[in-house]
Amino acid sequence: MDCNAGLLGPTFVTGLILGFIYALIALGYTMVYGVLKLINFAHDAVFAVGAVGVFYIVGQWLGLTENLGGVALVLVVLLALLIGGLVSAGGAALLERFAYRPLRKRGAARLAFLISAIGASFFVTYLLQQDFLLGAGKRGFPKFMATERAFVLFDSTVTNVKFLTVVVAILCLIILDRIINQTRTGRSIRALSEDVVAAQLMGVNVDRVILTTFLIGGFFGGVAGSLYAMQFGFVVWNMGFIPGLKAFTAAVLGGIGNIRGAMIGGLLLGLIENMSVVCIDAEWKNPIAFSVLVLVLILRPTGLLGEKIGG
Amino acid sequence: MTANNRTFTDFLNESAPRLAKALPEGALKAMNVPYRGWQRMGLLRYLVAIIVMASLPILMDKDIIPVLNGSFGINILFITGYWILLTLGLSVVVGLAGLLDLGYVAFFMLGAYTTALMTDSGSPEQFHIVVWPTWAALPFAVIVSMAAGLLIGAPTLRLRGDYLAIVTLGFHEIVRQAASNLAIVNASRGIAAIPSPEFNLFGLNFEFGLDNEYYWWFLLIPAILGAVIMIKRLDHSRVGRYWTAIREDEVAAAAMGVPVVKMKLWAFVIGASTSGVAGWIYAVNISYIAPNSFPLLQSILVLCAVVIGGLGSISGAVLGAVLITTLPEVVRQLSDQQKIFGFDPETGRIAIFGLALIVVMIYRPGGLLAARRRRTELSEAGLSDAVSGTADEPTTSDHSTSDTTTIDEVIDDRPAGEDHTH
Amino acid sequence: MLTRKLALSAVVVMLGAAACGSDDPPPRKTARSCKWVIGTLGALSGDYASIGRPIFQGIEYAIDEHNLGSDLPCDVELRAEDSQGDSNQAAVLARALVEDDRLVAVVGPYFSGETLATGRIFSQADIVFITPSATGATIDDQAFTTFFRAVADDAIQGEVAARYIASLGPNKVAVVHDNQDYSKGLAEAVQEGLGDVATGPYVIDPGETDYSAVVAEVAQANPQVIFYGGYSTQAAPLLRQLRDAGVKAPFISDDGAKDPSFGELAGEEAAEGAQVTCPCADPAQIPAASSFVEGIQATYDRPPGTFAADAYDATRLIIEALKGVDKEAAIEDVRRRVLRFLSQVDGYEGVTKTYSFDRDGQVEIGPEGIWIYEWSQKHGDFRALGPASDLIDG
Repeated sequence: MDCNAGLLGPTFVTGLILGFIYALIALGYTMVYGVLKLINFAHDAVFAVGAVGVFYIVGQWLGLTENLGGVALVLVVLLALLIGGLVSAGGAALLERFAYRPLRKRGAARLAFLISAIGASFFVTYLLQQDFLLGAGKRGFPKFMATERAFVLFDSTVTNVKFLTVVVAILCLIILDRIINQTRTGRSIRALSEDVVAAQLMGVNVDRVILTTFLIGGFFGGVAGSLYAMQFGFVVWNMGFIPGLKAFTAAVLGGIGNIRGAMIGGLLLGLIENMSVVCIDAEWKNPIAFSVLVLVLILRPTGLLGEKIGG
Repeated sequence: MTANNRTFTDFLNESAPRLAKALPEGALKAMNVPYRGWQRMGLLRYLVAIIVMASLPILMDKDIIPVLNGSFGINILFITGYWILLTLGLSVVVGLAGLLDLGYVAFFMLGAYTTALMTDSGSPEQFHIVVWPTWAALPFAVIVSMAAGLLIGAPTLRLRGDYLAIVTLGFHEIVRQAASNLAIVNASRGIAAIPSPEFNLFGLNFEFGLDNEYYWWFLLIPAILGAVIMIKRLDHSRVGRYWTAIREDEVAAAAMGVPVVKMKLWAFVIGASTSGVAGWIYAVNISYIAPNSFPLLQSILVLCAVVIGGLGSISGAVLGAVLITTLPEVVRQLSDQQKIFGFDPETGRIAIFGLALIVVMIYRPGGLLAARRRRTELSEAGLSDAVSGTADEPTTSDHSTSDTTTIDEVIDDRPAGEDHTH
Repeated sequence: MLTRKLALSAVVVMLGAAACGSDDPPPRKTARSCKWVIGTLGALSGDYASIGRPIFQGIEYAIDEHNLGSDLPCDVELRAEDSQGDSNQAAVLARALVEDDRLVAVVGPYFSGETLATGRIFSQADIVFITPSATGATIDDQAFTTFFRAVADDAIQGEVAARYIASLGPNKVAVVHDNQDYSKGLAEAVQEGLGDVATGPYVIDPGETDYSAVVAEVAQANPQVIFYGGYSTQAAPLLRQLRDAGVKAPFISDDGAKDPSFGELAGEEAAEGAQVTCPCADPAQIPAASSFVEGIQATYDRPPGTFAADAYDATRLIIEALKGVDKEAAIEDVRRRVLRFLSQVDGYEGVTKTYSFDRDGQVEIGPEGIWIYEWSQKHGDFRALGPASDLIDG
């Protein structure tokens, strides 16, 4: 454990940026968990299809692969995020409809949901790998936004794309917090997460609320997927796997089912990971991240902020 | 028939507990529970199984079985065989005890690595003090796998089901990445030149190698039968009934005095034991192992095999292993490596198995060959489901003291939307 | 099997027709009564297909070309098995190949892990396997009796890469790798060759996408050159992230990174000028190889890729070994004859180099066998700068 002091600043910044992405994905796990008390194992695939959707729609169909500037750039970026979000939201809705709802109607046990979700995740992931879709290799993401240095913080270069990631992530988290705590839909979601029977008796349409939850969680997952692909410059069939696992860890760390917890957990995990590279060794980054997960689960299973969905 | 029958049965009944001495105390107790199933199930089925299994490589060698012929076919048979050991083991964990383990292949990997490090003079120097004979590594491979089951199970089995799943998945990654990072196990380079076993019987020397591939399969037959007998006996013993009780209704089981955590731990440990055997035989057969030989995907595929075949069902586990290993090879040979409806036979099968998981869960939760004593938890709506939902709550994980849980709390916690309104 | 035979004979017929023009009916030799099979085993699909395909094309082209004007008593057929680069799968498929009682030799496997997992199978069956691309230095230690390698191994490549980097005159080189066997071995060889000038190794996780922490470490070290041991699928994103973080030092990698998709993944500006070392000569730069280059271009509509020429040569060597073998000869004798031929071959003129093998089956080649390539956005591919030995001297 000899941390390189000169690196603490830069890795703090990069860890924070990474953490915002984790937080955005973690929202999807947390939303679904909040209402269904189930871990949505297929959320990694939801994340991936958003980015892949942008790859096909913006890159292949609209052909927007040139560096843009000014108003055009802002519009295209917004469009890409919107498309990513909508594609993922659609994917999440399909997932709910075909992999979860039949089981809910039957009142199946938790194990059945988990297996079904794992099935859905692998189905989508390996479908993407087939040659008629992405194929096996990494595919370059349409580069409508030229990477430029935005500013330097603590010796770390923050590019415009990374800055955008942070801004969008914060906006999404604020919007979601408002939705959950201040809208009628949010109230229904909270009610459902508190007490299904009571919520039904009070006139909450359970199916619709659950669908809404999947749509919202999926939307943010898709936005995260698009930002991820923009930042790293490619899409690949299994791109959701590692971020999904990390985001899940983040959600648990902060208290799964708790939206602010997802954000705190995401940032914390991003920091822990990057600090571990600086202080120990890069090879041990993932073992350390998982060990943190196991420790949290054993010592404080409800996470740092508990499992209550609303703020 | 009767006389012979009885003596052979007696022999099995005597030897089984002896065999079980290596097993933990609880399992040993369970073995001693009088069990009359032998006579009912009939030795005949076992004999038929042995004859069929023994004749397969001969038929393949004579090219009587299409596609899978010669040493290629026998090798596929061998792979299917050690996969059956894996699916049988995981079937105990997921099917009998109801614990979702997504990192099962980590135990397999530990068994294989133990074997490689003990027997291979080409393994890193730290392990050079004694180069063990191949056979001597077998019990150690099993013990290490079981100990790993204990190690990962002890702190995590109090977690609810979905957390357990993710922790076991993480466990697989930790083990694999640790192996790729640690120089003392050759890191990502892996270990090559693991020796094959030899076997002297009445002056006859059986050398396991590539010239007579079917030896390997004959080594697997007793291993598979042993595992089947062990699992059947456990399932029909008190341990099996405990597992059923836990899987059905953990709260009620705890209230009735079932040592929940302890029994879950047995499931983990016993499930890991067969993967230790599989790991040993895999390592000495393939002779080269590296961290990349054990991708996470394999853990998922074993789960697919168990679920599709039938959770908790022995014939289901066998069918599952055949579907996951043999079928794709046959398809590959027949299709001549061409794409099938645009699907690559190797990766496309995973997409198809993924889809099959959903379909099986929705339409046939017991799997293709459902266990006869198939219980309610995957198929029927009812109170017991909802209870098993809460039973996993961490706050109430120590169920021996949590008898205050009321039905109302329980209902709150089941997966929502189990419609009362429609 | 049937479909493959049909497909292949169709290819041969078409090639024959193309070669002979449309006027006269192609003087097809009457179908010979016997058949010899050359096997190949490697990643034809999956994650590593972009590495495996060019190698396969070199082999396929050699056999198709030979069959047009064969002077052998038997037809030569290619049997391809797709391991996807997975050593478990390779061990299964190697048995399928060995089982084929017309198989005379194997060109492959393509990767070192696969070679380690299958070497015993081929050796015990007395079947020659000659790899055109598995460069792992540990294979020699295994005493595989029928193993041959048509390219220089990683020990030589690492040494030459280190000398090449040193010739650029940096006083600090950051060595990065992804902790896989191939990458690590090469990176360690480079680090050793550079001595005190090298810092690191900095290790990335090949399964990850975000290398920001390692990038920060490299940025802080402020090297004049960065060497990366590994494959293009990580090398290109890593380079992109390095450039994003403001690290401008020249980026040098290895044959694993020599892939036409490099530019797309790294981004145009970042990729420009990135260099790789490769134990593969560029046939386009060698006048004697022009007919090979044109032939590959005409058949596959792209120039020969990495190791295509070496795979072609390896296949030609086996066909050469079959000359003069009696069609009635038992398959074991044919196999033994191939083994003897390769052990004794002395100065066979291949497309890009001459072949003699040492006792371990390693082709005898020194530093001149390592070439340097540079990414050129204009060409959309790596372009050869020449053999490293020339560049170091010059």
